[in-house]
Amino acid sequence: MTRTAVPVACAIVAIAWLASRACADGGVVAASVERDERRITVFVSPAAPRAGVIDVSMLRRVTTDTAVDARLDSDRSAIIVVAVHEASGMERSAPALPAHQGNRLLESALLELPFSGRWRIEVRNEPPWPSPSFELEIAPPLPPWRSQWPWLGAWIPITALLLLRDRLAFGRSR
Amino acid sequence: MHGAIRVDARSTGGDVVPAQGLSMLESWTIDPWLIAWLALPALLYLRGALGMRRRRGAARTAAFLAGLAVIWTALASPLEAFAPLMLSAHMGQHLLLTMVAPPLLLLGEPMVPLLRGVPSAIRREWLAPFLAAPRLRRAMRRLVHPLVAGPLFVLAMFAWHVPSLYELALREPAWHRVEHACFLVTAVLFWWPVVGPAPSRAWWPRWALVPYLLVADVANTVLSAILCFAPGVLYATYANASSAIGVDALADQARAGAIMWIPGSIAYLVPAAWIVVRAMRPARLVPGGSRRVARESERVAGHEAPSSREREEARSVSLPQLAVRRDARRRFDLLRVPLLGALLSRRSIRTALRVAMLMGAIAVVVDGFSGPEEAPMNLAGTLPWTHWRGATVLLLLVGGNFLCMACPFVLPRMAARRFARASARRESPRAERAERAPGSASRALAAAAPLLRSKWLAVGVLVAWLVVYEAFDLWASPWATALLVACYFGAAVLVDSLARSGAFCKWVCPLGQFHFVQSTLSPLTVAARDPGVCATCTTHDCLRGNSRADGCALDLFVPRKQGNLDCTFCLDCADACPHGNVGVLTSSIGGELRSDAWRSSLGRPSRRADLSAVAIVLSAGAIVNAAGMTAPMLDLIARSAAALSMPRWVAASALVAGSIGAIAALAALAAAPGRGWSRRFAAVGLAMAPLGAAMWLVHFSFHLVTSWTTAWPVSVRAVRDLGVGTMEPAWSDSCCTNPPEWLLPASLLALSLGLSLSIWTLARRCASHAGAASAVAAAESRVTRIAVRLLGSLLLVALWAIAAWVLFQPMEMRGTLGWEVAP
Repeated sequence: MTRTAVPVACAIVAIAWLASRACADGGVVAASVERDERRITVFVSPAAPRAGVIDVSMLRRVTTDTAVDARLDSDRSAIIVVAVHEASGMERSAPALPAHQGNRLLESALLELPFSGRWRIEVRNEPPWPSPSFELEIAPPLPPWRSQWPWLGAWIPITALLLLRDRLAFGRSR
Repeated sequence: MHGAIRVDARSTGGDVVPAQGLSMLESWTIDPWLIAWLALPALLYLRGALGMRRRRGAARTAAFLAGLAVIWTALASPLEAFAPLMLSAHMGQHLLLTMVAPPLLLLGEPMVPLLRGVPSAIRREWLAPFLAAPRLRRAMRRLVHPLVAGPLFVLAMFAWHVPSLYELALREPAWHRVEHACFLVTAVLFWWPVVGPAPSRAWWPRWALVPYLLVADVANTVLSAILCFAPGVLYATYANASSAIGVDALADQARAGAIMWIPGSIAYLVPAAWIVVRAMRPARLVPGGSRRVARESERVAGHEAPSSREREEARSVSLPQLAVRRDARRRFDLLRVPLLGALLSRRSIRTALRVAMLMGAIAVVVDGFSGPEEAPMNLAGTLPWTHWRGATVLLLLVGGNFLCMACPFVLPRMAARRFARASARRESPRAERAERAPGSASRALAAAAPLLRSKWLAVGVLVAWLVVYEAFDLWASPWATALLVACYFGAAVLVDSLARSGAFCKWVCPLGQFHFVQSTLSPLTVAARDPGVCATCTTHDCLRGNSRADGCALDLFVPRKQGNLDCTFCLDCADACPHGNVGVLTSSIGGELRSDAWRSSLGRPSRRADLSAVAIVLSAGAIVNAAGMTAPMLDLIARSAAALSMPRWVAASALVAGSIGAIAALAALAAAPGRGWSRRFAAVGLAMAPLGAAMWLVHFSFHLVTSWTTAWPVSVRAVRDLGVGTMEPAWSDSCCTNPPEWLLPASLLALSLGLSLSIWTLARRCASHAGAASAVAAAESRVTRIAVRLLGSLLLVALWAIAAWVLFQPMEMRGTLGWEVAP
């Protein structure tokens, strides 16, 4: 039992460790503002953004409408998301476009932020929709080898599998 | 600007989209990877089920496919899109993954059809050792024990609903996938004893599964009640996110609890009730007067009931035995593929391929000498270095050595040989006198004969090729490229007209050596379809030839040929075989590198240091050649030349030759411990081949992917220069293209696969030496073998690290206008 338990425990620890190192692109609610019965909620992903491309998604809703997805197409205007780097004043902007797949209620803008540091994000909306703004701390980009770790480290489990296969097929004597 | 202007959407004249939920219903996610992951088991299952002698019920197939469809619905439907916003949607997703999909998959009794669906070679080579391993079998059997599977499932359900873990899964998609995998796997284990898919055997009697299901239902009820009656929102993410779509987070949480409670309980209680009802039914006699009694209660809830005899048959299937069983299906044979096989079998088509390649080579030579000097505007600067190299390495690794089959040098060599023979017949007396004369060609050949009995000459030519390429920037000089191709033609014609046919391919041609070594990793090989037919053959026409076709010019006897080393895929053996017994069949990738079996014309690889030297030079050359286009290496060459006051080409030559020599020396050192050095040197050298092949693939693919558009403007220019067309070349297509995002991960994965295959090859070769019967092998101690494996593996990992480092460096975009250093 001990012989089985040790590799199983090692495998669980390895999976947990690898998963914790994953540079995922999950999203978090960055701002939610309501004015004149119109609410706009802004999601930012990844949850811990780094210099590079970040996704800023908006969800607009008329709060008086009971329908979850009441889409007021004529009342919808273009959204421009502007990011300003506080230290250098550099500005980056991108239009928010409806999602092509996944959650169709979202409008998403992809911003390429070249530097780490504090950025001010402004969601520029036409009235009557509110225009929320918020600050975002952008971490430095990962070194390339860290962002590619699954591919760089793939040889370890593959080799282990190949050697295990040999061990099972030919036994320990060889 | 953003004043408080009340705008009622209904009064603006705008159309309020009336279709409530329309956006939700449209929110599907098309993920090609998910589709591929689900399509693969579906195809394997169908392939296996259709190939079974006793056809399975359609209901089982439908159940399995429905299970996969449910998984896809859970992970691609609006449930997935709205899972981060609504706990109830997320709960629905989990319910499908734990309560619906696993029982359906297990009702399909998937083990036997899936196993049979896997191609025979993979099944026997890869799955059989795992399925036959007693320890793994015991572990798997324990995992589906109700006392293990039940607690695991309940533990997973409770653990992932702890707020910190649930939040983690919501925040990080990687953890979300781990959560889903955890639910699916533990649910499959949980439902296993309940469904009891054949050929597994039950741990407990059926009635004992009733309390098993009831206990799980109680646990489900407790968790549901916590969600339903919690005074506050348990998961902070939903407190914010749900309000964004106007949903009360607390109410949604209660709704999620209800979803878990009611449909969840139904999922547990219905099978429990089914088992009870079945158990209460009276027993019936088995038809035929037997006294044995088949209890209906043995049947699985919701399961299509087979007869007890069928069921016993199914249970008696041994998966390890099934895994090693040979398929009745024939081995894949490319020559039997409709249309393609017929085309390749025809000698005229193969000759046409060679003619086409010859025309291309002539165009390259002519344009190289007479066209523009700028490489990206010349056929000689683009086609050989970007397109031909990339296509070659891809074709070698996905098919076989078809580039040698279409070799452009074959036709001039054949013509020269015929001319030489005809001249010899016409002037036989004079030829005899000439042969006796000092310094004649035949005498020169006789002197060079020892060089044409091993690959050492090819090793030297290969090193020279790599050095010249880097020292004189062949890629940047159409004139030099054209000269090289022309000299290549000359050398091939000269060697083949003097020596016996095939000598150039076998002992000299550097491109041929490249193709031979890389094709050891090809999935296809020229081999006998039925070895039994070869055993009864007395003519050996595949080697000797006959009136229909020449035999193998490279002295490969098909029944004793193993793998692709020295095989040019010319298919002369297939033409000559009177039994039609030669095909292009599937083979184990890299199998011939791992095996030390004796093979026709080559002997044992472990006794061929020259063969290992070719592999080492090619593998080291792959890394050096790729490094040569990175900014740090170019900088190093420039600084070395400046510091030592030498021309750049001398510094580049010294660096390339020195690097290859250093890697070869390290390989020799890794093989140094103990006696029997040459055999271990062969092991280390051949083990480097997969890593080298991966590096060539990565390097040439980079050029092909980033510069494939360059062929068009260059071809338009060449045609226009001939006065045939008037179209202006679009030189914008010849400019630098940024590497696509997928290229770096794909390249790193290819390198990882190469390294794994290399380490595995080394381990297998060291092991095969241990099993060898020779006295030297017997004397080889276990410590020596371990030392060689360790040192060899360290060398391979070091080479892989250098290769990976090269990929992260700025690259010179060769073969494109501008030749910028891409980031």
